[in-house]
Amino acid sequence: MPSGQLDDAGSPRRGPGGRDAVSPVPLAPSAAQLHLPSHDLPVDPDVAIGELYRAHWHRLVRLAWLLLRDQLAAEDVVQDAFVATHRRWGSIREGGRVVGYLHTAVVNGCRSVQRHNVVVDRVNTATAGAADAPGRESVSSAEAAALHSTEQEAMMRVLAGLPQRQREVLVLRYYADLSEAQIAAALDISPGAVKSHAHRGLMALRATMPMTEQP
Amino acid sequence: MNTDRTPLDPDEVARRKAALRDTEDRLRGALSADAARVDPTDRLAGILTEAHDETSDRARRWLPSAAAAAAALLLAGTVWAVNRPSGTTPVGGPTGASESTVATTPSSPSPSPSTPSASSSAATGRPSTTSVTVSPIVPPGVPPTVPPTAPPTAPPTSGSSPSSTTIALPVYYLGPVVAGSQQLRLFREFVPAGVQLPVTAGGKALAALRLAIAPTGGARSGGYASPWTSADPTSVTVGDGLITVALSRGLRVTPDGGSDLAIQQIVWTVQAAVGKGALPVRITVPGDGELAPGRSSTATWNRPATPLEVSSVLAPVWIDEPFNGEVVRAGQPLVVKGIASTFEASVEWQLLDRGAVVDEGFTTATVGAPGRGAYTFETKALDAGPLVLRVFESSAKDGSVAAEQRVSFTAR
Repeated sequence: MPSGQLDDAGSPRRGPGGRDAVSPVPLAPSAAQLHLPSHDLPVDPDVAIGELYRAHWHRLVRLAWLLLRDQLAAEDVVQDAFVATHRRWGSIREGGRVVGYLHTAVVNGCRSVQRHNVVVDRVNTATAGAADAPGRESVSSAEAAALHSTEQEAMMRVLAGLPQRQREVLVLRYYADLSEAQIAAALDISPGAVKSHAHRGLMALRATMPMTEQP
Repeated sequence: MNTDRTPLDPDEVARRKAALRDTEDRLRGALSADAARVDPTDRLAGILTEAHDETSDRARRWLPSAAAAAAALLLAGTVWAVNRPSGTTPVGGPTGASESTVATTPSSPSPSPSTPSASSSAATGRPSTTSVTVSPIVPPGVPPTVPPTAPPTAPPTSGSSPSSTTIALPVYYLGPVVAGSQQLRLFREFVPAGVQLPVTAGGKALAALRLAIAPTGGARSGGYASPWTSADPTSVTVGDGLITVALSRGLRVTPDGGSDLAIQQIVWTVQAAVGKGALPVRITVPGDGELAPGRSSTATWNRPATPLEVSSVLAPVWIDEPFNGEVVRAGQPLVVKGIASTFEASVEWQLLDRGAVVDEGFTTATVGAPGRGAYTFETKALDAGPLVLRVFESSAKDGSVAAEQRVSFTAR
């Protein structure tokens, strides 16, 4: 996983292959910048969303998937984040914290979905017998059906059982490769809290996985 | 929050860090492998459609989170959240502009991005009936088809070169309301188009206009045709309160459907691409000759203002999703969305596999004719292969098909 792809570089990163080298926007000088002057960003929301989409859509959907275990919901959440970004592009552009906004929107969207997962799961249970049941699978069915690797399965199961904050921090840290400061901004918590959630999450993972100990 | 952390000396911190490094590595690997199982479907067209579609009746499932995101950033002291005027919302975007003149839904053309009432009313989660999904998903049991390092699949692009970029533009095509009909109307489709850099409103309008008057097919029986095919648009200039389109020549004979409908095709297309609402449009030809028989090239034009007038210009049935040529997931249902202006808002549909009906149903739009309402429905799980979706209105008189739109797409 190339690190920094989700960094808040203001200007969306170019995708592999240089397809987006056509951007009218100069590349951000440094991945670490959280705020860019708005004149570095496209004015047109259609252009901006197109670029953001090409740079971040896959990654953000996968990020949401890790939090939700439901691809349809993950895509819905990220789509909504892009739509919201488009609709407020003028003001988001002013602030320059574009990808950070997307992160915050995606994490909050995932929480919103999870709050109503009880209802969704009930629907899933009711339709589970149908051969063409839509793939809005619950956590348990997703894991039972799909995780083939024992270690990976165990790891993801433990992760799923962690408190929400710890799970979010671990996913943002070890999948999205965000810095503590970026995670703090995305989750609206202090950097100290990020550290503490990450630490406790990792300890929990290690404690429940005796076989991960090195000889 | 971190009250259970005991103070540690630096050595102890280092020791624990080392001990956790293996867990970190394994977690990284597990997350990466797990995420790679997901092959996100392409939704750029859906995003742009929805972003521009401000009169849509769709439930905004997620608005509370949007509000929360804004609030979080506001607390974090970011600038943009403070001055977040609703005026910066792209008012009168491609569909917003068009539908704001015709929709009878209560939504205003420029809704505030996030209102408290929207937050509370949207707090019903994500009911499956109002899903905003364009494409079915990959079930977790399906092996990943894309390696984790694969570059993101770009939206259906074409013609990307160092001097242009690809944007999905709303394009208004001129075609018969139903195959064989003499009645011509405008059909809106979102089409990926190469736009000259730097992107300007005029550049988008020019690209959309070129697509609109040189239709390249699609699944529509009867197809699209434009009288402007030989009248090459040379420039589109967006000024204060006026869009000026320059054509290489005017029409010498009155086209099928009449000169006014032909002019409306240009008006709707450039207004939507410019995205600033119903700006008047002037269509010039060299030497200030006639734009069409009896139509001056120095006049200004605009879209009609009343639903009844609009219904004589726009086709009764539009399909927004899926779009022509889209590739969707096989083995999953397909969520279809569009706009209809039909008697008692009733909308019928069929899914065709090589001409044979494999699924069908009916639904209703949010409003009936002459208003234009959003509709959505879900097909059964798709079999792989090329498919055609028909959405149509049957005549209340004799059951014949009164209006129809088709898109062809592939389930894979």
